[in-house]
Amino acid sequence: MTETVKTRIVVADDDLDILDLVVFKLNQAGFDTVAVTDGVAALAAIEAEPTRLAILDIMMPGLSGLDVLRNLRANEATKGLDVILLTARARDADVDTGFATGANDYVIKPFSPRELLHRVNAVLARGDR
Amino acid sequence: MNVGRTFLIVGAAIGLACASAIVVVAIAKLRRGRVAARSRAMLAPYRHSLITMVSGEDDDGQAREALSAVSAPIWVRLRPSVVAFLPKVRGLPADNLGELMRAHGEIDEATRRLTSRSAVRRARAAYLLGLVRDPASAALVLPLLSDHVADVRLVAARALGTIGDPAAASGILDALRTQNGQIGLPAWVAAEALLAMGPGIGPVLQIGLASKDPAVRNVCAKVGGHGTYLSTVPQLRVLLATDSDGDVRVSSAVALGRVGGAHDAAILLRHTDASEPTVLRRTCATALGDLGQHESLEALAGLLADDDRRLAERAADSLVRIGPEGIVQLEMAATTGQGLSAQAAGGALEVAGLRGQLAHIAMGS
Amino acid sequence: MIQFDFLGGLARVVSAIMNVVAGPVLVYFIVVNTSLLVLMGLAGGEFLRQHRRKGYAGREEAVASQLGQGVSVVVPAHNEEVVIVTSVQALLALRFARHEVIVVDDGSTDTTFERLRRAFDLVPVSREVPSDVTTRGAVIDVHVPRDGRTRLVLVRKKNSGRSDSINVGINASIESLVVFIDADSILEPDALISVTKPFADDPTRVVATGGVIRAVNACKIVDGRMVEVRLDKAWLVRIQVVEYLRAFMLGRSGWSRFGALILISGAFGMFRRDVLVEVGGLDPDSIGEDFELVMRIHRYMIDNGRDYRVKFVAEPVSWTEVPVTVKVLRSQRKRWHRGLWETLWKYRGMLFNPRYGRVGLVALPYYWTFELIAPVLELGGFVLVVLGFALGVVNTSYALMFMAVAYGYATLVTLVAMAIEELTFHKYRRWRDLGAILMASVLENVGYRQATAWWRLEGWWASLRGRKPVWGTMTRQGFGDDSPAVAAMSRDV
Repeated sequence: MTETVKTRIVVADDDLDILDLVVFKLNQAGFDTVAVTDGVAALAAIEAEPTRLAILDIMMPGLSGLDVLRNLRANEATKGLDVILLTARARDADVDTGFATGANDYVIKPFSPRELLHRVNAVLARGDR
Repeated sequence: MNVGRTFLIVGAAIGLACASAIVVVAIAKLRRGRVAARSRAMLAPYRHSLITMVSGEDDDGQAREALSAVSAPIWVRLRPSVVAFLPKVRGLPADNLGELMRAHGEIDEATRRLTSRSAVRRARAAYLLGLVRDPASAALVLPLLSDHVADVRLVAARALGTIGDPAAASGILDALRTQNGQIGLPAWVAAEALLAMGPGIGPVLQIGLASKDPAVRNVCAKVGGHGTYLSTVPQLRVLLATDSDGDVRVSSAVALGRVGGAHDAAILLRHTDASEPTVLRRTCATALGDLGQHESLEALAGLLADDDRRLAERAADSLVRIGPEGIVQLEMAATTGQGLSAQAAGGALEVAGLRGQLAHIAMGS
Repeated sequence: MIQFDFLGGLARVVSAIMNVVAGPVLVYFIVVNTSLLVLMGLAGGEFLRQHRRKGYAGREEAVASQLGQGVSVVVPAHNEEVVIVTSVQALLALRFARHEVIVVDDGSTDTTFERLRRAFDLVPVSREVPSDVTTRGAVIDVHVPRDGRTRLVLVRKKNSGRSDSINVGINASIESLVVFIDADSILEPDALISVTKPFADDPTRVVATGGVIRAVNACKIVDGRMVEVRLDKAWLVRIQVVEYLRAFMLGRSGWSRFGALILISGAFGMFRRDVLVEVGGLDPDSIGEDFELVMRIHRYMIDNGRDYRVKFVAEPVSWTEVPVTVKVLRSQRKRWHRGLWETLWKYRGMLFNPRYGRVGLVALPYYWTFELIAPVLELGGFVLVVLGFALGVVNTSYALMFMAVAYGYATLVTLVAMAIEELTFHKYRRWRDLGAILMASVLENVGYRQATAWWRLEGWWASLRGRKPVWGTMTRQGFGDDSPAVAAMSRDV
């Protein structure tokens, strides 16, 4: 009997509206989603169980999304974790920084939930080798 | 005694006033607490429908129906959540939210309030219409660009930007005019609004670049570069060289850096000359980095020793951004150049190294 | 014998004085408190206006701005090891489209630098700091985070005081707007958006802005962000909270509306960089450096015929630690009043000078009378009345009248400030905190007011006698911050 294990995604944003929205969308699409409101909780959630993808807001209290990303990339265990940054910062310099820090994708708010889902699938597909 | 009686009156008045203040505070606090609790209770069942709709999972339209059918008292409490979501999402969910607002008569109400006597109402109405992004609202919001209250003009300009109808572009440029000693609109607000309107405004920009008003020329130059409107390039060159307004020249330089071609390297270089204003020199140095042409390399290297150290910094940064050849120039300057030059070059190389941009070298050789 | 003569003589003296000043004293207090109410009315209106504006302010969108002005946040720091990392982290996390944080280490002798270095993985770079503003303390070195992208700059320099350090910070800053912040301040996440709004709305004219500052003592802070506003248990702190509420509720907002704002708090002030350079930055030799800067800007702009504005943003932007001991409070008030005196004296040429418009004709005279000389009148009146009453020279009715007008009316003013706060920002959630503030408003008049009046006079007197100023040290309590984020960041690299 094969049991499909749901892909685990951690979503971090201090904006509860966004959090509710993204979590709902991903859950409907069959993912196992964990919602947190700050960077430290994000790291804890990622390290708690095997996670495939993290969707991070940048501007959060304490550890920013970029700090979390840096932490992940510096850690052997989480180096290869797929990360999508979801943020209102839209300047070229910010996008550059996001990718340079190691993000797999950068989604700017206001965003289309449907498009986000496509990007999640695309990033995961790229990851499956 | 007289003083005694006056005291009683004064004392009583003050005492009463104090008591009133305390009562006001208490009542305000009580009401707020009660309102909040009641709101939460009333809204709980609808949150799920709202999230369903906003995430685009409302395939059968049930959530939309349920939300459209809520009674007025519930809608009043639900409205802020809906309005909060509008600037956060795009696409179908945003359209659905807009429809929901329309179903509850909010669009009609906002349209009516555009001509309200209260400036706050006009502004709020314009803001709302901007959030909903219905193309039909553009024509309605347009007249608010000549409102006598600055705030309203601002909100109107932003709203027209988010609605994105290119037909409003010339209206925004007109609104830049100074009225009664007050500026019509801050330049950057106008520029951002125009940027949001897309490629269709090219012709309007070209007309604006030839305007008599320096504020208009300035905004058009900003937009031309940021939005990559190639058709504006010939005019930008002229403005950079000859415009009477310093801001216009600076904006043109920035723009040329972004949309210019190979020929523009020489033009930008010309304006880094010591005879030009400081701001312009620095802007041109940065713009050369944006342009990324190899013709600039030696001249930029020459600027590293300039007396204006900020200029030198920018020139060095531009060299990094041009690519491997630029980095080679910097390395030459860092090792063989004289004091100031070596310093600027070294600084830029350091930062480039930190950012991992020196990997270019390894790949290039 | 001698004692009897002394008391009799004293009674005659007091009686003579009272005959002259009895009326004026009452008038003074009535005028002061009424003017405060007027200013508060203006301010209250302003608060409500700005509050309603939130309905269309578009904060969400402000963060996504492409072309808006950037801000350089300058943080002078001397021995701030307790709070510096949390503070800088919170500053970097501020919601704004484009900003950088410049920490100027003013020759700290504690672990300030080391903590920053570990937390942000700082590496030295050979970046030059320009000399747009003349500075004294030599720059030692410059550090930035290793990733080369995080917009944090740490400039270490030889110790030369806060003002000079800020000037170095101005030199090092890149953006067109500069804001000075104390290392121990907690900012609202939207503080930069709030305080840049006047600049954004009127980029050519606005040259300086400030916002509302409140007391942070005992508030719950997590990761450098305000989580819950609480009232400290100490009455000394509670009374200061009340003072701050009043001062920011009325003074600044009202004056800004009137067009003659001459004081922006040093704990949070935003300025246009080019104007700062033009006027020469802060004056390191001045005690009231923030006040002095704004006055200098006023004079410079008017002398040069420039159309300019100094605006106040009627929103809480910054939370700062207020003194918890009498000793530190006293030294603070002495210093403030001394700074006030020295600056007012320095710019006395503007007083009653029509050339300087509302600043010279309204604001300055007001400050001279109701801020500078106020403690003399307050304390003098109080002493006279109490003495007179004790000596039987002053009758009960008058004494009561005095109390009503000097302290009762003042309490009313404070309560109105409290009401405005509750109606607009309602930051104090708990009933008991509101009750405590109410008590504090009353208690303020029983000793605190008199004490601060005396200390202010002390400061003034010290200045007149040419004594050297003493800055004193604030012993940092820190934020009591649960900051796992800081621990997470300080991983040894």
